[in-house]
Amino acid sequence: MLVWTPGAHPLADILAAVLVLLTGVMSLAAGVGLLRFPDTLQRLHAGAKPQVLGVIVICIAIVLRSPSLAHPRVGLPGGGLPDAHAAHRGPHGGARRLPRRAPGPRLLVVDELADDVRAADRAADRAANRAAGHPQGKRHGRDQRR
Amino acid sequence: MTVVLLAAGAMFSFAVFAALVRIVRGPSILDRVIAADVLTATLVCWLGVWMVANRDTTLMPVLIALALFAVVGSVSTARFMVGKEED
Repeated sequence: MLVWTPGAHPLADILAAVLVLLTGVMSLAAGVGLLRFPDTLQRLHAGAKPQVLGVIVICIAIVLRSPSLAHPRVGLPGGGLPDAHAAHRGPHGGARRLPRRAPGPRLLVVDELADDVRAADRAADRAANRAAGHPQGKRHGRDQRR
Repeated sequence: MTVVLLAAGAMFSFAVFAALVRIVRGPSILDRVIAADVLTATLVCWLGVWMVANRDTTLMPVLIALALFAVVGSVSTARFMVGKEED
């Protein structure tokens, strides 16, 4: 891995080296964020965003350094786009399943789902009351089970 | 250029180490999923640096397959996690 094959153009080599360093810094940022941030949501952001950028940057570097620059389509659409999609799809799927009532520090500035979660809870309460044959207004169901 | 490769390797190594620490320590399944995702993305970047250094795109299918494994693994884990950690 420590052998840097000289390329056709020295400028492309230097640019690719800068992009490689940028990818390394992005990975470093993701690692530091994973270690240091106190909240699951923050760790998710710290892991997802630098990694997507790092994968895109390294794919650009691959295109810059590929032996035949006549085939950049092998590098960029073939590698970069599916990888970037994959790298951001996983944390997205995780964030959608993030437990809303999990214990831990609440560091969200704006909880955009709070109203919807409350509405869903009220709807579940009403459904439970209707299923149990109780009139509206009496609290049965979720709150009593807790 | 060897210095660049060494520096990138050191930073990737730290990212992999941090992801492993978070996998071991992470309080919830979601933390471990995220850390595994970061681990796989770092490996993808590592393969990319190998390709950049050697001017050889042989590993591109490996890179794409690794990224696919990452997304399928983390998304399926997130799906099967439903209801396990609520309340």
